[in-house]
Amino acid sequence: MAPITTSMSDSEGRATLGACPAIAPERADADERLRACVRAHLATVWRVLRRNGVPAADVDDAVQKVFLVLSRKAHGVEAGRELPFLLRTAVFVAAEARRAQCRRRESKEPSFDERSSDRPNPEHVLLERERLSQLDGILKQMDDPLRVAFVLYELEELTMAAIAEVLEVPIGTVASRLRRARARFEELAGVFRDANGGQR
Amino acid sequence: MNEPKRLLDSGSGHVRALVEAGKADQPDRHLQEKVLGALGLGAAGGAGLIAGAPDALARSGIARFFGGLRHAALSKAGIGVIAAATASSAGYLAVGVHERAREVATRSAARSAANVAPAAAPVPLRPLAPEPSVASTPVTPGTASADSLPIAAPAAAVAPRFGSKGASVLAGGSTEGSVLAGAAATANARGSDDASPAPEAHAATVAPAITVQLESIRHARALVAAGDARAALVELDAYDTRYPQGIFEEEAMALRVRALRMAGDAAGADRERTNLQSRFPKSVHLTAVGN
Repeated sequence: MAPITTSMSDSEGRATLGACPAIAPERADADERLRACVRAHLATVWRVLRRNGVPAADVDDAVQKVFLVLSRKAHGVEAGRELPFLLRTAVFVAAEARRAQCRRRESKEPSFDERSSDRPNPEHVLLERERLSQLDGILKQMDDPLRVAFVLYELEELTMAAIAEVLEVPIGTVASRLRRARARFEELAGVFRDANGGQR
Repeated sequence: MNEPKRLLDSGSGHVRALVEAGKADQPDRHLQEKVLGALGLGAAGGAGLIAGAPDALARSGIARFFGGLRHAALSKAGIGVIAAATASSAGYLAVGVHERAREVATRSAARSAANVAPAAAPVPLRPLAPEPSVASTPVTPGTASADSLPIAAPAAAVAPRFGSKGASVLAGGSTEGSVLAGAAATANARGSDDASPAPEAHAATVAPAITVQLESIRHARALVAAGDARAALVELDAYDTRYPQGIFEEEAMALRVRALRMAGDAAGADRERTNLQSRFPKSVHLTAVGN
């Protein structure tokens, strides 16, 4: 199975998930390796957690948990293979967080007001928040396996082979999930759009 | 196998906009510092401030450090120095209880004019209550086999919680570090402005008091988590008696709401929640304890 790319961009010059610097084994002192992983993969891990249903109030803790797992298991993770490990862990942690949220029963999903933003244009901020709110609403209605495949492919731009590696499933399974996920996403997006009077 | 065109390139305008929004979403710009700090990889020099600390301590992560500290003797000078160094390498950890610790330390100092502060009274430490851990629950991922789980159970148990004022006492994370760091910060803050005991001595006084109080709260929390509402209420009564307006008053009130609700005393729970709201209008626990 093809390893997750570590190139800086794909053939169209678009930054990919693999656009993180490879961590050289020769300088893989445990702390330095971990620090490099945090710097390279933090935003990706955060987005995967967030889009897979971890509430905004909990996502920072979840990110920390993912990297703590890496710190404890780093000796068993081959140098250069940290990203698949982190993503796999993030998928598990997100599932765990969703279950915990169900158990808590108090659905205290904070509003997007809690998001920090430095953007000065309030209209832009508002529009972005509405879109993110819609996006999360749609993703929330998708089955877990479909959502995970969708997030990794469409938002994080992993290849199907990379997703298969992360999820440890055959690439055909990824293709199938992705096909259904995209259809479901477009269907739900249409519903949301219509519900908003065709706006946005 | 051919890769399908991504929706960003092939989707409708609306779908593209949604995908673009998701791709552009970014974590808080301080998160990296927080995570590095929590892993013990914060700003250079933090760990180095631990004068004379064992090399293993200096190199280990903050979480592991706090885990070890739980079992260590809380020696007088050491705790202040170590906690201060920890706070400097992961200052955010101290924020949560800093203000509360300062407030209580001030009260303690006032009370200790003639004698030892009541809060520092030597109360025997009870054995640590087991902490409910998210990671301790079986994980059954929907997208991969359980055999492939990379999650280590202890990871969550030692994970300090970000930015929540003492919330991890309830949430299952360890606040011990932030509490101790807060105590040290308090000691440092107070050291220069009055004739109260020297910072080191003050830290030595406050830190064990905080630890003892924390033990009580953790025990109450474990009882609530175990569903033993009656025992939890007894523990909370004891805490309130022993530490009126203690450092964890807010957490104790929130736990009491939960325990009362669990015990079926809805009216009492509502009353206690109202008290919590009145005493701590901005409490992070208000949402968690519901209406």
